[in-house]
Amino acid sequence: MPRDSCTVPGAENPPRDRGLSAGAQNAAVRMALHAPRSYGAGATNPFSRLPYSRDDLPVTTNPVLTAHALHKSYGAGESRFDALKGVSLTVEEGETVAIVGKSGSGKSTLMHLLALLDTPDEGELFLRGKNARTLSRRETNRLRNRDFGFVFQQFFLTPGASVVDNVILPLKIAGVGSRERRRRALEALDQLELADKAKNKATDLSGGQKQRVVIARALVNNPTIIFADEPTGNLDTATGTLVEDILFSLNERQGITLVIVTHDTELAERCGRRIFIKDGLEDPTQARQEVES
Amino acid sequence: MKFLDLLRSAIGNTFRSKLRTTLTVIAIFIGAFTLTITSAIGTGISNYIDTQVASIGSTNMLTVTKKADAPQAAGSGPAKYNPAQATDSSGFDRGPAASGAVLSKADLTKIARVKGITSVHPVVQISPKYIEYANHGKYQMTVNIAATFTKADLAAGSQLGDANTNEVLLPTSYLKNLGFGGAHSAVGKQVTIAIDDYQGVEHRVDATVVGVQNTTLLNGGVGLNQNLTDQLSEVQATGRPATLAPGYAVAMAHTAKNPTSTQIDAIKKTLSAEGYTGLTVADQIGAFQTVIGGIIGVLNAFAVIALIAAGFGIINTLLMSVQERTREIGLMKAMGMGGGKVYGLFSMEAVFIGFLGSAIGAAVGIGLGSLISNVLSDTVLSGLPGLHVMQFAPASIVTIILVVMAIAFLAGTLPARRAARQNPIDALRYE
Repeated sequence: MPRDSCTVPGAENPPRDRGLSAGAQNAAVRMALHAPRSYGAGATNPFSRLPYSRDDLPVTTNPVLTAHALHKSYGAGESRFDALKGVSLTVEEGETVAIVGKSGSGKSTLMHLLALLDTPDEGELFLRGKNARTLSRRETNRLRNRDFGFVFQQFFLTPGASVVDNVILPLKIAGVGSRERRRRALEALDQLELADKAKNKATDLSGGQKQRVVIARALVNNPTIIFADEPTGNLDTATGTLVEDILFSLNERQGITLVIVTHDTELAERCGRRIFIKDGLEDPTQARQEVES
Repeated sequence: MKFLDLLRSAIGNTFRSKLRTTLTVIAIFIGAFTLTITSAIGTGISNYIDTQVASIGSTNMLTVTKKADAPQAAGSGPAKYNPAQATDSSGFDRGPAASGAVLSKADLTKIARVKGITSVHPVVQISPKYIEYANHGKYQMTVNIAATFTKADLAAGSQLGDANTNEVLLPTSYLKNLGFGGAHSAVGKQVTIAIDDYQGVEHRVDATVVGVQNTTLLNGGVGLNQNLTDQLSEVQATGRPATLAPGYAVAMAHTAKNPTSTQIDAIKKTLSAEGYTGLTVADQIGAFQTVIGGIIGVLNAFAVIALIAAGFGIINTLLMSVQERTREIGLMKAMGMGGGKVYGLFSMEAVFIGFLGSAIGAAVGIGLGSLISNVLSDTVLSGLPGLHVMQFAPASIVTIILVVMAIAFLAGTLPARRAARQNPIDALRYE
């Protein structure tokens, strides 16, 4: 039960918790509202939600992501660089997984492959048992838009645009009506206690606020997995912890699976499971040390 | 992403870098402005010509000239002299008779026999000495040779008739000098035209003013009806040596009323076979229109060149924009936006820039052009009533805007393709 081993902020942080409780209730309503989704003729949604609540789930495994011997290299000839040399892993639903490694270890590449932002040279990737290679471009786009949320270290907020417009972006891409997407964006911002900043320019916010906007953006389309690439990398310790708390409570309250790429050991420690990557391969020694400790 | 959202985002994006967009828009503005003005001049002038042609009315008329003799092949020497050939005697103060290319009496009968032609009148050049009204003084006069077959734009009175009385049509510019109070008071008055015969003896012929016409492009002088023309021509030829064969440069041939174009073509063909050239009034004005059309075409070509240059401005602007927004594009693609939509976003941005430039260019062109046209009509061109140098046809304005938008779309293809092909990962990593 990896989820239980996660450090989750609870009563020790009452002011923020109040906001999140309200948000969590909303989220439950939203999940019910947006559960049926059309995936085009003949296509099946590998992430179709189960008819029963997540809490009733037995301990049996329910993998969302399965990777088999992923290889990825960049360049050719002399300058060829093998970023990944055969990494295999499984991510269970509702799990929090940290992909840990030094810079250049291939951890970001691994996340990109898992998030379908890139395609592996060799190896197979399964999303709820469906081979990623069989997905059409359109299906891939739909998956990334509706089931994945992204949190980046560099935020990637559109400068000059308002906070709410930044949060709206995934819904706009999905083709949600303007009234509806505004309502949902404000709801997501409210959940992250940023409703009062909705009309501000994204560039005028502090680092922590920016990262919260990014989380709101990742959350707005009600994803099943959030991929976070060094989510606290550009933040000081206090705001970093705050952002971590938010991410983990999303996992706790909304059952969103977290895949976090980091080199921050403290953040990695809070996750249910850690996958150590070194020179493009899973590092067994690190994993063994962890078990021993 | 919905089309409307895409369009709104594209429009929003164009205003993100205001200076750059403005500069590109100015480049397009110049081209669109020029194109609007030149096409308006084309419309204005050809409309004016059309109304002039319409005023001519009778289409059952052909100007007939003799075809120039086939030029002698170089080196074959001068052509053999033909004593039967007529020389031009239609003029009064002619110099040494120019032989060749002149219609003789025999030619006129030959033309009259052509199927479809009802009558032929040689065009005789009348050279009166002066015109006088009562005792208000003698004034030089020019004869409007087109008067008999054109419909005058009347200020007062009526058109010239076929009556057996002498009738004249005065231009408004003659009224004051001749001593008339106004156009209406001139109608019905008697004027006297003096003319010298072949021997230099002055004759005076009386005529009635039937109408007063506004000055136009084609009708410059005093109009005389056929009866008066015949009489003056007879007076003018008094005392001409009988040995001098009369010849005429031009003859007017009439056909049945409202001939069809096939009938006209048939007549022209017969005339051509007989060695004559027949031209309708429309043909002659058509040649004029072709020249104007050519000039307008060249001006338009310059404007289009300006627009193509502006197109490169669009390419440059958008390439910079794509470069700047690489991360944003990467983010949108990571969030599931398809390449086609990204392409649409950037090409719509290009089209919008094109629209902005062309719409502003056309609007300013219409405003400024109308102003200049009105000022010119009231001052320099006041002598040509009805001429508006620039006329803005809605269809051509819409065409200009659409053409510019099409050019902009083509210009946007390259940057839009570059944006659409970006790999989300490379785009997000881009520093």
